[in-house]
Amino acid sequence: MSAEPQFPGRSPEKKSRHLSVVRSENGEQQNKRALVPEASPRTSRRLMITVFSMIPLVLLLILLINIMTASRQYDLVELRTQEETLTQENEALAQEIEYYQAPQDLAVRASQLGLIATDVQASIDLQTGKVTGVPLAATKSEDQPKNLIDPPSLNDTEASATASERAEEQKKKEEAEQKKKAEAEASASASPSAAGQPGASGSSQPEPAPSAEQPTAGTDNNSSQNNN
Amino acid sequence: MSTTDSPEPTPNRHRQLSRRGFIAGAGGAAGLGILGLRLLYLQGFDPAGHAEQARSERTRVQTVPALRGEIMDINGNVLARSVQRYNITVDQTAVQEYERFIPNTNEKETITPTQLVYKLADILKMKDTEVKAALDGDSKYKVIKENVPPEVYDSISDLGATFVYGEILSDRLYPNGQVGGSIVGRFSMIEEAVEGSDQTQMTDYSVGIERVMGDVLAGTDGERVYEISADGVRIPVGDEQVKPSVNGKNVRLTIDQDIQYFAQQVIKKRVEDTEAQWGTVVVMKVKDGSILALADSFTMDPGSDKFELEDMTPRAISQAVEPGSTEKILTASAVMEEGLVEPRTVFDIPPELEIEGQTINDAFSHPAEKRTFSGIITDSMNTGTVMAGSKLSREQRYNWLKKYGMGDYTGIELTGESQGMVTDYNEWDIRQQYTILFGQGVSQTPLQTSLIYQTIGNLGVKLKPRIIDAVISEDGVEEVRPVEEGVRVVSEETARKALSLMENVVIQNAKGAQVEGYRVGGKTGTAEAPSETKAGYDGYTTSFCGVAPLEDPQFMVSVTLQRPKADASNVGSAGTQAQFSEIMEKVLQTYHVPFSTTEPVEIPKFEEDLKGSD
Repeated sequence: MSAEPQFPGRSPEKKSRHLSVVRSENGEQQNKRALVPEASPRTSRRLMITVFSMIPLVLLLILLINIMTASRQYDLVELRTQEETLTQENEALAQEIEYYQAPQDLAVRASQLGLIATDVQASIDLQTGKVTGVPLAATKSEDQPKNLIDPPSLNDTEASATASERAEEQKKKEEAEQKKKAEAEASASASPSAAGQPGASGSSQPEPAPSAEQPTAGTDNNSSQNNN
Repeated sequence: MSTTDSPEPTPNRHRQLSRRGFIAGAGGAAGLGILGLRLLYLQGFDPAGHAEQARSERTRVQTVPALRGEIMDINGNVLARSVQRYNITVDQTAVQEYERFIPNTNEKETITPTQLVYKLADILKMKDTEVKAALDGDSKYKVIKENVPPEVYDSISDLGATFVYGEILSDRLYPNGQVGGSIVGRFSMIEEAVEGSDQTQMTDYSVGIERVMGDVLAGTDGERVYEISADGVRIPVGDEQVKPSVNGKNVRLTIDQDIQYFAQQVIKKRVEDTEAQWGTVVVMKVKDGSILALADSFTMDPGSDKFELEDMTPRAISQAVEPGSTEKILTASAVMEEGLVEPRTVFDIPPELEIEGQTINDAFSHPAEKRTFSGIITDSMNTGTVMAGSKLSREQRYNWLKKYGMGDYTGIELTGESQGMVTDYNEWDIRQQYTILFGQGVSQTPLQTSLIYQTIGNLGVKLKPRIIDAVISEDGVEEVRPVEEGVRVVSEETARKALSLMENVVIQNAKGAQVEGYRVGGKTGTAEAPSETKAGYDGYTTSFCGVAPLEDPQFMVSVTLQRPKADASNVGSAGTQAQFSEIMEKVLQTYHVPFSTTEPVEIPKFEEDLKGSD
């Protein structure tokens, strides 16, 4: 083949100008061949093989990408559902907490646990260390304030259901106690000494404070609407 | 196809291939051309609308509902929130026996409509007969049960019945119920038919904060447009347009849930004890006008369908009543600001005051006496108040009422506010011109009356009541509503004198209003309540308004009781002082206000003591 295959176009041409005509004819033939690359049948076959093997490869790749996007789509749907479920669960839990936190529900729960509100409170000024007020332990008094406010309605969470139940229980307890008290008062008129110990019944278990109020017709009205 | 470009060195093969290639190529091209034309015809021109129909059939438009914002109290306790709920519906025409996979297995079971009825009834906690009735029929759409929580819907969709659907909807929950119910209000959008057409429109029947802050809470619904395949999954390469929803913002109120509950308890008890018509409490921060509680004896539960119309709005803003003697502080501050009277100015009080042919009486009988102005206010004497107040011209009296905002809306951001009524001074009759000095013949809401005390407590600057503290966006950015600049009504000096008068009321007369450890100032008020059914008066409105601690007032509490079942003298003395004291104590303790360090300054009631004391 050509002596200088690396530069088929340039150097033979240069040489041809200065050297013999015979050589130059040879050189032209050489040049013709050099212009159409000599390796062409081989390279074209190689190219063909590459191209034809690339096609299925690319197709396969596209297929894979397609499969992947499709399956991601399913994942996406699943994740969306999961997100929704979690949001709903979160909502439900937050709702439970809020119903338990409602002041009237807390008040009922507290008095069922035997807690008593204190009306004497003191505070410390952190800068001066001064205490204002005289703190005293809460005492069980006869006119313990009882909850007068109905539990929140809409009975579709467990918390609101329990709250309503507790309020109902508490109300019954209070009524029973009032009845007991009324009886005690009735008997007290016969023997005056018996009236002074309404707290004795509460020693065995925490019991809401007996209410000193006379039963009023208004206290036990519209509670039924919250329970069904 | 690539044969046409084959290299020259083999011309024979090239010609053969190119001919065959030409035929094949031409055939292919023609086929492609025909198909292309057909495609253009179908997709491009689409005369029969097939492409359009196909697209619309696989396109789903889904509204992405914006989540409505929460309403919170000042400490972040949630008073209203939105949750997802489902309406369970059925296509009755499709009800039939079906097969489903037993959960977590690969086995199938057959479920008959009867079995389904039992299962649904169990899940929905309904009667079998009710569910059966809902499934029977030939309606394409029938609601079995409304408003079920997501977990119930989940167990229903686990049943696998393809003809039972869940319709998603948003429900509003009010976890605190009656506590602050009338402030929070109710969210209620009702779809109504438009008159004279088939269309419906949504009408907003919300009240309270739900109404006032409706736009802020609502947010903007988004939209998702996408294409689905036959199995219901989105086509990955299909068109998708997403317009994200913008969730509503949260609203934080100035209300303190605990104070609100406490005040509601106290006033409800008082109303029950006195068998009053209603009672209302206003608790306010004096220095920025923030309202901590607007408590009523009866309040609606926004989450319940059963409530009285009048319980929908806090009565402190909806009920205009004659204020009675609480108005004397307004009169006193006016005459002192005009420089006509001082707390120690002495008046010759007759047993009964005759003025322009009108007789003015006091609630108690007394001989003619020489009293200081402070003594007049302390014992709430109408005679003395008229004597001092009539030094003002009629126009001045009217202007002072207006200066304190009487007859005008306070501007509180709630629905259903009444503006009260102050008639023009030219229309006052001969008696009214005097009675307005002690709070009869004008009508004010308890909140308007409270603002007199807020003004005095804030040393003369009247503020707009503030109930919305901040609007909080989803990313937690708080946009705090600024305290609006107030209006100076009286000078600081006058306000301090008025505070001193109020303190003397508490230390010398209304002792029930005292709060241990604190200097308190206030004023009782008893007015005859105009009858709602007939001319004249029936019953009383009794109230107590005050501020504490007196040396640097922080809080204002006013308690109003309408038509308690008690006789006049009893109402005047018992009234609502104890309730004021209870609530004020709670507020001062909750906000850790240190005890007063100074002693009350007593001003003698009578002239003779005055000489002795100076």
